[in-house]
Amino acid sequence: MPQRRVAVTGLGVICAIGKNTAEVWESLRNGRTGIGPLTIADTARLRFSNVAEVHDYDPKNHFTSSQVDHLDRFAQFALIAAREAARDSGIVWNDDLRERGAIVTGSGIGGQGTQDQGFLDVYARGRERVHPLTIPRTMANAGASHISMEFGLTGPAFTLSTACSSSNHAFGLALQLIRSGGAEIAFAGGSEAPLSFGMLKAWEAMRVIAPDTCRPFSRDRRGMILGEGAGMLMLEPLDAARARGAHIYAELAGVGMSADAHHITQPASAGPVRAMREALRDAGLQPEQIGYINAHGTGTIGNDVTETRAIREVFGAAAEKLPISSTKSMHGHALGAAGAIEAVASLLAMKHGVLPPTANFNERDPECDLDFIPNTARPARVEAALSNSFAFGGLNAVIAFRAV
Amino acid sequence: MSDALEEKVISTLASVKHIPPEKITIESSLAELGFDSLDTITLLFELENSFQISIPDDRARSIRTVREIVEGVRILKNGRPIQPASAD
Repeated sequence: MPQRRVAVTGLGVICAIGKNTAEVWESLRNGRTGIGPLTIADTARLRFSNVAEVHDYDPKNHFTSSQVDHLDRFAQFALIAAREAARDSGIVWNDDLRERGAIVTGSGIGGQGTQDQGFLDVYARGRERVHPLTIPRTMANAGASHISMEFGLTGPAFTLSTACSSSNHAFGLALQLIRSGGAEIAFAGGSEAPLSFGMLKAWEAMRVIAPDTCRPFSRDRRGMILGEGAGMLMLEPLDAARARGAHIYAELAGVGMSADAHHITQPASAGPVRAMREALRDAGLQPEQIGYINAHGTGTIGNDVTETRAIREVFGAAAEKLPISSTKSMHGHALGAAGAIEAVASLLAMKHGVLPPTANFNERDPECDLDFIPNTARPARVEAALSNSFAFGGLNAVIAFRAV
Repeated sequence: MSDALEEKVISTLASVKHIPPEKITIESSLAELGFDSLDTITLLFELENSFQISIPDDRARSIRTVREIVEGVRILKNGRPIQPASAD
């Protein structure tokens, strides 16, 4: 039996540059960054003060008070993005579809904010008990579980955690579920809310956070900026999407996954090279067909040089003409949600025929000598695109989209 | 001849890397001693705790040798460089 092809028919997103796809697209095409002073935690005891938080966010605009009691911020984001993706897809649910509906979400740290609060109560405040909803709010699968309950989906549902590659691994597994006939429709994406004080201190100690802003591939880059949010895609068999006349953003054409087997935090180029090659092979694409790469592009010294080398190795001469951008320069690094937000950015770029820029770009780095679309969006029709995610722990996942 | 601060820095390096302090001299480089990026941030964390100082990220990034660490800690601890008596 030939492998089923998989279409993306709905998008949902919430992050520092917008609380839905329309707002996010406005920011992306204008190169507008959502990076600014942290407001949801105390910065007095932090070495850095800028993050990419979801601005003017009030959960009460999205959930009832009793729902909010059950939902950590990361699970709220997952649900908000899932609702938008479902709405956008125009899917009409029926019992069969619900029973064959899958949910695959990624999250690096789950409900860290809730856990922080509980630990503060018992360790620092000397309290005898933590809030009884600490466990259900903290568990990393809370987003997937709440999506399943809200939509009544009873098919395969799970969450995976591979740090900054979580969302792309989620797309990879959802793709395989639909290809194999294990599901007829899927929510796939990821969510993260890492801006709690304990987590910020942990990132501070890693010494990879920029004191100013995120300047991927720019010579004067000084590190990454933490972000938060969620992205969700509605995936279904291409034939089914066509049969119901759905708007199809693109085909989720392939995934490439690899492990560096090298170092727990230091990047290496061999793993990313194999992940990109495998994504191309899985999608049946030649390097010359790729018209855009949404780079991992964290803005750290190490990642950006390594990723540049890896792209050169995979694309050879074609790398010279290949537009690449890191939208983390605008929405920050949302860790386990990064791949999902960047998938949405890539699909919006393909839809509108405009490639989002790398914002905050000041100066070309001789070690990052490719076309990173500095600061200004660029019109371009794209036949196929890659979106890269390379995680701490050396776990890489690259996804490929093809216009249909 | 070393002083107390230098000895404390060396013993911190030794404990982070689980090597005997005798293997470390003021001239050693972090690379020679096998420090990778995670060993280095762990070292900075230990130095900040034991000397009650705060080492800025940009400064931390340029550290290559034990001598640079000793001098850097001395500056942060005292607010200015102090020449060790044995310096020639």
